[in-house]
Amino acid sequence: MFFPISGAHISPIYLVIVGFLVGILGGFFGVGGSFIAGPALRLVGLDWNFAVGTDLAHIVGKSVVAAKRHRALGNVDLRLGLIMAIGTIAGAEAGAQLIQMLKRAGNVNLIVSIVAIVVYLSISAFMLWESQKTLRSQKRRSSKEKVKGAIAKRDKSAFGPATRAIQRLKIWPMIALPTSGVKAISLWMILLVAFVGGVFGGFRRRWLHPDAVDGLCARDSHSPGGGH
Amino acid sequence: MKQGTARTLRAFAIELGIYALLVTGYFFLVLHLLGGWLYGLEVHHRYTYASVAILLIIGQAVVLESVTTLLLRLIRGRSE
Repeated sequence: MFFPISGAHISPIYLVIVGFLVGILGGFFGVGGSFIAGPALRLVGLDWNFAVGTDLAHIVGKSVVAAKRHRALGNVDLRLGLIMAIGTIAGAEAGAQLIQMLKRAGNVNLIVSIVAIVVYLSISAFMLWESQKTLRSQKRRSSKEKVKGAIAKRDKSAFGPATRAIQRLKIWPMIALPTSGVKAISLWMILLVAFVGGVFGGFRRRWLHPDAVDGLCARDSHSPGGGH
Repeated sequence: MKQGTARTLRAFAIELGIYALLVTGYFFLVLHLLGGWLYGLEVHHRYTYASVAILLIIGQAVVLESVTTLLLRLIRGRSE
């Protein structure tokens, strides 16, 4: 099938399969867009600017549906989401500006590569440790405490001690998140987490697709009808 | 396979089938009715095109998902 705007020939079946995989990952883990959709579109010959732009656009639809479904299941804390949106937007802009600074300094590739390797390895190691600890504690709990029909009073995941330590930090203002079951937590902690996530998001997107973003700006300024 | 799991998988397969049909129909409808206009919009008014494209994507996601859920409720209501 020919797509005139991007000028690419792509099999619709391929797009359906990729979309399906991205949707499943997104609904399950909350991620999957840029990691799979962007490179998958690039693989079939789409230019980076179209791959990035299309990826970003499709994430909107996917996220709305997934969030709607999670909300129906009672998994969405709107207050937390709104607070995190503020932090994430600020962080994404900061991340994009940071990488522009590095680009002007002339050593963006080396620094970003090192940062990306360190961050991804750290996240992988942390997730592995957390999964192992959670599985071990659940095995111990199931062999000692399991009673048919009983409901666990406390989450026995590896995050437990860290979560309690964070919630004990009394940095004003403190807010309650009743939907998530959090009695009190510092607003700054939520904003910090969202900001850091946003920084890496803005950093990574600008780094992974610099030509895409630069190409988009160039196309915009040179095109007959668009841009300013 | 447990009965509960089999029932969940069957419901998922039916929902997927209905949603796939609706998305395919929506895609060809938009392509046929709006394809030319969207292409012209992209060439001459890119920012408007971007807004319309995102609205179409959100509309497709929300409306089709709601229609699928409604159809499933009707099917389940008739089968019970």
